[in-house]
This record gives sequence, C-alpha cells and structure tokens, in this order.
Amino acid sequence: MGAIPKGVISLDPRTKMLLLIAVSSFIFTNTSYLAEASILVVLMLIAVGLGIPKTALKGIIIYITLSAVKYGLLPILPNMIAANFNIVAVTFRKLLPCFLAGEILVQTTSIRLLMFTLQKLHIPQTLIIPLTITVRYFPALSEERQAISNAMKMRDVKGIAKKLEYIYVPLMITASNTADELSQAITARGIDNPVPKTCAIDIRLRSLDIFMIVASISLLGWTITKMFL
Amino acid sequence: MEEKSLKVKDLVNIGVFSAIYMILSFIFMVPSMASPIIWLLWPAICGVVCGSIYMLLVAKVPKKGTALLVALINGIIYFAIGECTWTIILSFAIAGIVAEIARGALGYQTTKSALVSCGILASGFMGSPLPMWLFQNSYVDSIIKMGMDPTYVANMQKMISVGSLFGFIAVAFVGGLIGGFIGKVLFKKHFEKAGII
Amino acid sequence: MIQIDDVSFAYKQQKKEQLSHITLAIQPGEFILLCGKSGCGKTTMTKLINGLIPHFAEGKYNGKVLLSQQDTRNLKTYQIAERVGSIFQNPKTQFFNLDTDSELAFGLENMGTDPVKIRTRVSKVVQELEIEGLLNRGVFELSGGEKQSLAVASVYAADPQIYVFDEPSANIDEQGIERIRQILFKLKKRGKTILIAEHRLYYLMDLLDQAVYLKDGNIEFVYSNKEFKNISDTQRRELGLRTFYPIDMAVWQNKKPKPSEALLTIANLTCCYRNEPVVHRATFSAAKGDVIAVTGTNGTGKSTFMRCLCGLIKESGGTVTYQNKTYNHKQRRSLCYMIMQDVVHQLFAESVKQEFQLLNHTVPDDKITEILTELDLKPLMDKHPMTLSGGQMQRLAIAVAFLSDRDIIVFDEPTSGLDYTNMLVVSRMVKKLAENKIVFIITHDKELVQESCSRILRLADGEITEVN
Repeated sequence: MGAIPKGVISLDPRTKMLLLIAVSSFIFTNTSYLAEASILVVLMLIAVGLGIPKTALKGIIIYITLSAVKYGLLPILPNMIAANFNIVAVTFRKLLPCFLAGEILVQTTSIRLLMFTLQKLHIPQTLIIPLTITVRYFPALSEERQAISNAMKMRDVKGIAKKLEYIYVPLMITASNTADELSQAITARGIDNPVPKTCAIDIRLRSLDIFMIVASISLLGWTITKMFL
Repeated sequence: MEEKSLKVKDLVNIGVFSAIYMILSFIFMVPSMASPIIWLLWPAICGVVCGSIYMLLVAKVPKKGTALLVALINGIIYFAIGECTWTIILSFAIAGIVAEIARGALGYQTTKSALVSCGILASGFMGSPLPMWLFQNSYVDSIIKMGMDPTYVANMQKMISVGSLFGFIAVAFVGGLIGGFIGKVLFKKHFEKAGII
Repeated sequence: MIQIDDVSFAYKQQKKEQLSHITLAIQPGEFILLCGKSGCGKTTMTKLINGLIPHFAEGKYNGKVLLSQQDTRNLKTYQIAERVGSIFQNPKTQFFNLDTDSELAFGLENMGTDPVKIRTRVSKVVQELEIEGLLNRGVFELSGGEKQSLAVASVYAADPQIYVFDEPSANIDEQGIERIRQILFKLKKRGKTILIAEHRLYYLMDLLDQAVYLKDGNIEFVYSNKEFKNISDTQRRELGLRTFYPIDMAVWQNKKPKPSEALLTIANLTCCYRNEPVVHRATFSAAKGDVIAVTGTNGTGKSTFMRCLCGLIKESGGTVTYQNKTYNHKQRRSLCYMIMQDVVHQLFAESVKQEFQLLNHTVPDDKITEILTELDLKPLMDKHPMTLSGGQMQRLAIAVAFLSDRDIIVFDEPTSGLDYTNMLVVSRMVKKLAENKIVFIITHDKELVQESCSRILRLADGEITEVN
C-alpha cells in the first residue's frame, strides 16, 4: 500500500470491483478444473499487466502447493487428518481466484480513487468516509503494534491476562487520540464541503475496461443461469 | 447540544475503531482456517477478541448507525481483500441491520443495547465459514473419491447442516457477549478514569 | 484580515479558561509567532482562527473572531477551510490519504475544483515549492521533515490566504526544519498571512513580523521583530523560551573524554532494520556518569541501534559486555530501559502511584513520594496516567525509569515538543539518572545536548563516530 504501482495496462476501479464480484460468485457454482485454472491464468495476467507480478507469483505458488498437498500428501495421511486438510485444501484453492481479484483491486487503486468511484456509484458519504479512514489506519496500526510490543518487552509483563490488558488499553487510547487529531485535520481540509467532490485522476472506461466488463457480466450471467437451472 | 446525526468526528472514530476490529479478527483468521472446526468457531473467537473495541466505540459514538457502519466496513474489506467471498458482506449487512434494530429498541445509551449489539455483530463473521455449507457437494465428492469411511462423510454432513448453522451463529453471539463483558471490565478499570468516555 | 475580539474559551469538562479576553488584529501578509510555555494557550489560539473553535472543540466560547469581516461562527468549517490552511503538530495524523499525489489534490477535490485545473495547480505547486522528490510516494515512508513539507504543500495547493501552523517542527530533525523554513520564506514572499505556534524559535527569527507572548491564556506581550531580537539571553530564559539562534557546539561545557575504565563495552555490534543492516560493527565503551547523545538525521538507524542495545531487536553480530559479563539480547532487556518517544504505550497502571508497583522489585513509598514531588507530579498521584498532559506523562515515565533497577537508560527524543522549562527538567533528571547509571539520548535537540550530554555519538551511513 502507499505508492501505486505503474503497470503496462490500467483498469478503472469499477471494472476491478465488478471483476471481484463476478469471480467471487463464479467460484460457488463452478465444478470444472479447466474453468478454474483458466480464470486463474487470466487474473494472473491482469495482475502482471497492472504491475504487481509478485502477487501473481504468490498465487501460482499457493495453487501449486495446494494441489501438491491434495494429490501428494493427503493420500498418505491417516483418514481423519486427511479429511480435515482436504476441506482446507479444497476451500483455499476455490477461494484463490477471489483472493487474486481482491489483491488486484486493493493494490492498484489509491484510496481517493476508490472513494471517488464509490461516490460515483452513489454510496453515501456516511459510509465512504469511515471506510476510507479504516483503510488508511491499517499502516498506522502496524507501527502501533511495534511500539506496544517494545513496551511490553521492556516491562517484562507476566501473565496472559495482564499482557492482554496492556495491549488493549494503549491500543484503544492511542486510537482514540488519533481519531481526534485526524478528524480535526480533515475538517480543516474541508471534508464536509457539500459540493460534489472531483478527482484529479482521469477516470473513464477504456476499451480494455469495456472488454473486461463484458467478460465479467457474462461470467456472472453464466453463474446465475447455472444456479437456477 | 447533542446532535443525533453522525458528524465527521464520529465517522473518523468509526473508521479507526473498525480498523482495529478488523485487524484483531484477521490475526486469528489465518490460523483458525487450518481446521474446519476452529474455522467454524472463528466468529465466536472474534467476538471475544473484538468485543471490547466495539464497546468503546459505541460508548464514544452512541448514535444511530454506528453498529451498521462497523459491520458494513468489515464486510466490505473482508470481501475486497478476497479472503472471504460476497457471503461476508451479506452476513455482516444482516448482522448490522439486526444490531441497529436491537439498539433502537434498547436505547442507544444503555449498556444492555451495547452488549446485545456486540453479540449480534460477532455473528456477522459467519459469512467467512459460510462457503463450507455452499461447497458441501464438492467436499463430499472429493472425500468419497478418496475412498473415505462413509461414517465420516455422514458425520461431516451432520456438522455442516442447517441446524448447525444456527448453532454456530448462537455460539458467535455468546462469544460477542463475552467480549463485550471484557470491555466493560476494562472500562471500569481504565477508560472511565482516563476520561476517554 | 483577522480580528480577534475579546475571546475567552474553556474546554468542556475543564473549569479553567484556556484563553481569557484575547484581542488581536492581524494585517494581511503578516507573519505572527505565538510563543509561551506549554499550556499557555498557543494551540488553542490557532484553533480560533482555523475554526476548530467553536465548530469542532466543545467548550465555552465568548467573544468573536472575524475573518475578513465575517464571524467564524457564521461560516461553515469548509468555508473557513477555503480561507485558512492548517498544518498540525503530528505529521502522522494529518493525512487523509496514503499516497502523496492524492494528498496534494485532496483539498481542491473537496472543493469540487475541475480536474484539469487541479492537475495544473498541483504541478505548479510542486514546481514552486521544489518538492519534486515527494511525488508518487507512500505517505508512511516519508521522513518527518518530508511529511511536514507535504502537509504545507497540500494546503498551499488549495491556495488559502491564511496559514496556521501548530508546532510544525516538533517531530523533525534539523534538515527537516530547514526545509520548512525555506517553504515559509516562499509563502511569506507571496504575501500570505501566517500564524505559527512554536517552541523552537531559532528558525523563525528572520521570518517573524510580530511575536505574541502568551501566559496562562492571556496575551502578555506583543513584540515587533526588532524588540523580540533585542530580548537578552537571561530575559529569554525567564520567559521560558527556547534559544533564538542555532546552537554553536563549540561552547559545550559538559564535554567529557572517553572513560579510561569502561563498564559497558559494545564490540562490533551490527543491527538490522527489516533485514537491512543499518549499523555496521559499532564499537565503543561507556562508564557510569556518561550521558551520551546519539545523533544523526532522520532514518539513519539511531532508534534501531538503541533498540538493539536494549535487546528489543536481536543483533546480527558483535557483543555487548557489561561489568565483564556478556549479555545476549534477551538478557539486555533487564539491564536497559527505554523511554519511548510516545510514552503512552509505556504507562499501564490504573493510577500514577500504581505505576511503580509494576516494577519487578518493591520500591519504598517515601522514595516514590520523593521523586513525584521532585517532578511536580505528587498532586496527581491517584489520577489515571492517561489523564495527564504529554509533558506530565513523560516525567512519569522518567520517574519509573529512575526507580527501576536498570543500569542503562535510553531516551528516544525526549524533548521534541517541550518548552524551555520542561527541557530543563528533563535535562536535570538526565543528570540525576547519570549519577549511578549510563544514559543514552537519541536526539536532534542541540539545546538539550549542550545542556546535559557529556559525549556525542554520530551515526551516518551505518558508521558510529564519536564527536570531539
């Protein structure tokens, strides 16, 4: 998160959202390996094109590992354990396209672009503002985690209940302070201006978007037909 | 002059605390996915772990919409990062609406309403293991193909039935209640004295 | 331009007025410094102008503030935001976005400005303020100084007439301060009206037109630039103000030579941050009574180095020996204690007094009372630590360190947001700690170094050197 990677292609956030919805519906009705694999390949190509090849690579590795577990490891494990891991392996593998589509959306879209897109889709500000703040607070939380763990190590706290108390209390108190400071800052930047906000980034649907949207809609349509027939 | 509608400050508070709520639940998500039974109990675990966060938030923002927004934000982010499917938006949306109805009926300022809505919210996490019910056919197919004992297959089908779905929702609710009570204890000990609420 | 007319303000839940009967007129293009001791009302005064009072902070508000003849009470916060830009103290909590480009456009987007115009304006701002290096980066990877430059630039993009700063230098190093100073010059040259509440003054001496000195919520003096510069050094100290001129380290009295007999020996210590070595084979030794400043620009690894010394990070090579015994990183945790920059994380107990019961040895009550009295904390003994002010919390953390059984104490930027008086308190405590401990201080604050340190280590490019 942070700086947005520059890829050879770019997609409109709306396209990416629709893609995620289509993929996450499709995985419930699909039973064909071939379809699953081809969706994965397409998603990986998109990921590479958008400038996040590492994520695509991670996807491939997970897929191979899960397949290896299923066909290599499970047959030699005792039945009960195998059945347990079977569910896990099947679920993870089925969720993988969904995970990739999610990464594509999150890693290649800046917060404000997401905000602006949601606004264009007529999602109310009451939801957009806290949602944006949530995403924005994640990196701050990792700094927070570091500070808390240092403080704990220094004080040599014993006992799980005490430990948890000393994690929760500072965490919530700093969160509360941050919320106050942050809301002052964004109020002073005019967040509650009622005029429709604009976005300096040019967003419009290009031919690639149109193509992807058509593909996503057909995927959705196919899924829905399959569900009812 | 207390305004009833959510102001920028309230929205920022909701955003910040939702982030903690989500991260804490997420920390427990990956390990619990290692086994289906723990995964089914994950919503309850989240309830225990995240309850106090929610309790502090509703104490700071005792207004209409707080619970629904926390639920929607969690649902949307879990959906967007692709760890869960659209089922989690659905489950959280339902949990959020039910929680708001409960809060409306019990009063926004009362402890009772905070605790009950805290429990309801935790059941929103059920959207994560929900695909197990939806994927059931795939599991059964592959297990039978593996030549597994039919009694095991039957057991698994029992574990993932309509009745058990409601059972696990109830467990999640209880988990949320416990988390809420932990929050209450922390309040007494720290936050009231510290003047945070 | 700005007319503050008999304004009084008391925060909700506080009886005491934070500001009482303030009257001040500010002309267009003026550069006003707000100074005074911590808690004098500087920050509250900035909030009067950017409209956070009365629109955001709850409390009792009397009198009126006029911005070009309009009462701030009758303006909406976003209308004020179009005229007054605000830059806050904590760079971590003033950005809405995670990437710099978005932040630069944020104010204009809120106003609904045409996208094409936003793009032209942003690239013009980048050129004028010479901040090309900040483009397309993650906000969290910027240094403190870069964050503050970005904050000013994003406000400048929306082009308000008035700028309000609340201690912009609190969290940044000297280079960062210099960057801010350059930008302030540019704003002033463009005829902007600027108000700045600040403890560190030396970088503003050539910029200010008037200095407003506040005491207990009242305007005590208003100085012109010339009058302010004429304040003698003794007078300045009495007023509790930080140095007016950059500190010259040639006059450094506490300087001590390297000890002949070392108690603590660090040999070839290598420390990594995110698997990248930031400190290479550091070697030096220290004795009781040493107060050692650890300096270097932001992001050179000073904190990593000290965290490694305290055993919070495992070393990648080398040894730490204390009293002829070698300590591994876990053992060092009970040898060292670090007072963190954000002390909120270090205070756990339900009351100030109970904080001492968390130490792993019992401390007699009279010792606790003694130290709390010395640090002006005794009346607060039964309060929850989180109700204290920032300065009080920090003093409490120092008190805990003082009564702990640790032999090495590390401070991380202890004086970043402190006024002169509180800086002196810290300095006094540091010297007292050093009577039977070794003290390290990570700091950019030369005034503190001059006041209390006996040795200086400089960290640059992974190498530790002792400054003589």
